[in-house]
Amino acid sequence: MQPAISSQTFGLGSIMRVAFIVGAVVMAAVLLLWIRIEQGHIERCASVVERGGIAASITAPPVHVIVHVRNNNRSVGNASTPPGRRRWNYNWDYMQPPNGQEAAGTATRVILMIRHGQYGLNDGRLTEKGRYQAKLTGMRLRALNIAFDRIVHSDLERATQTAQLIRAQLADLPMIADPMLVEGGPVPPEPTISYWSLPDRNYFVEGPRLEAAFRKYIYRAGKTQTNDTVDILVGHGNIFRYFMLRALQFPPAAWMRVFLPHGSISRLNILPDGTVTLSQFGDSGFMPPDYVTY
Amino acid sequence: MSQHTRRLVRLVSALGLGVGTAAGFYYLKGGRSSEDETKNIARKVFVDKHTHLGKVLASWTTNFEPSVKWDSNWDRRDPQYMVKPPKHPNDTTEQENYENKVKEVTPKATRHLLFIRHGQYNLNGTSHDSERYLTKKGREQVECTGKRLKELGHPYSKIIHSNMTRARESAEIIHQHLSDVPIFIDEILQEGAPVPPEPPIGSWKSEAEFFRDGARIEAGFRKYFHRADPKQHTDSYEVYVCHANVIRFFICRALQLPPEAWLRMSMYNGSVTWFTIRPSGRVSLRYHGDAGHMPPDLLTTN
Repeated sequence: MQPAISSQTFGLGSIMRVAFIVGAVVMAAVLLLWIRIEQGHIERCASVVERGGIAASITAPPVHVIVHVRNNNRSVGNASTPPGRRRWNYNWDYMQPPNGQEAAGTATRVILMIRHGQYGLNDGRLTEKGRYQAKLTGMRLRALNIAFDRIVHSDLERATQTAQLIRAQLADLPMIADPMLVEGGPVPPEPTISYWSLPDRNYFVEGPRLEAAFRKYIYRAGKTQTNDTVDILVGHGNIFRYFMLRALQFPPAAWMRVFLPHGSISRLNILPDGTVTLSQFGDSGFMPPDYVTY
Repeated sequence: MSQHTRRLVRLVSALGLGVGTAAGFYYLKGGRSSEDETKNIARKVFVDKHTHLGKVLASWTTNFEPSVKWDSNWDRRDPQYMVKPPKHPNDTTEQENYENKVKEVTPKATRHLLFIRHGQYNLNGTSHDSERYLTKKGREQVECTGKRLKELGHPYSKIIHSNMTRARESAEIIHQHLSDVPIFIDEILQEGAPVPPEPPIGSWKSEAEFFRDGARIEAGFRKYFHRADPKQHTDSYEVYVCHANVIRFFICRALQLPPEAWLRMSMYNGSVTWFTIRPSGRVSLRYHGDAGHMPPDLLTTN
């Protein structure tokens, strides 16, 4: 009997010990679970906050909500997000490396967007003024003394002529005609204007094409690109206004709020980390005042 | 208590513990699926916002709804809200009176605002603003800008400048080319931190700075950006000499673009940014950061 009793006593002690350990594990699990639920709730709140309107940030001083935000494409850790903020999408061109990896490229891509010169509405060709504007633009580009890589232009007459007049001022640059860059309506403008409109079908057909052109030319440098590049695009007012708004992640419908003078130079800088800056839009100060036309 | 009862109690408690552990594991699994749900929500938000499939990229279809509507009463000067509405809308004379009064307060003129960024300045002067004076290059830059403004030949009605040394000096040099134009100073146009920028780039600023400067720069916007007064009969051109952050914030606000985007733009020293405010309240940006009037070797962003 003795051994049996002693083993029974031992068994009771070990059961109590196991009970303690298992109890602790269960409590830890419950705690962990609770934290997860809380975290999910906070993230849902954060995404709601992010999706809010911008009005709050204008009228009220920014009240900062400190939340843990798990960013899909970039680990930012604890971010301080005022209500209504729209976060910059680093993966806008789908070239953002996966979480935690270094930027793929090291080079900056500069895009110079040049609107064609003044043209005749009847024949679609540059006027005398328009030709002179293009010449002045070419001279300005030459004076800037940048190593340009290529000229890509819309194949409409006014843009082709402008591109040729610009190229005449620059040393042998490769010149590419691209029908993707011809003029069109990107999206119905907001606000609309009373004296001018395009049929809905224009936006329906041309809008996706302009977006395709944007994706073709506006992207960050990849791994294989080691040197900075400067592309000259010669095209039209609507398309470049759309490019600018899309590149800066502004609502594209705002395109009628900005204007581009004939022959003007606008500069987008696409940095390897996926940020984009606009250093000038519609630069035309190199023209005599009466040549600044819209 | 018999040994049987003790054994039963032990059995029940062991069973309880087992069930508890199983429940714990079950809940843990539940926890994981809650995380999946969170991921799904995050993914949906990502798709909506970042690939814009929700709104923007689908916007060329015929059911287009602009993501941000233009607020025509952004300056709270929409004439229909400037007059007391009729008490009895069906009373034709009252209604006529109201409409006449609205007509009276409807703006007739266009306002042109030309914002000039100061010239390059001494960045080593960190202790006091008076040390942050224009460099030789900075003086040459705004010299060019003064010439350009004169050449543009607009009937300027005033020059208003920030009280910081670099802006004051720039305005004085510009004023030499537009000597007939009255010149004013306004502290509200000082440089500062408008709102925390998105993406979060640029130099670090404390929340206190955004809190203080943000409200002041917004006040500056409300002071100077509005459609013309109904008493103004001819188009006006005003020159403002101030700072990059202020001007970039004004671009976003005036065009009703997200204000936290201000740091996505940059501008050269001495460059010109031209806004037009129509009698209807429509605002347009004619160009931003135009520095084409300067020889390329003068182009700096400080």
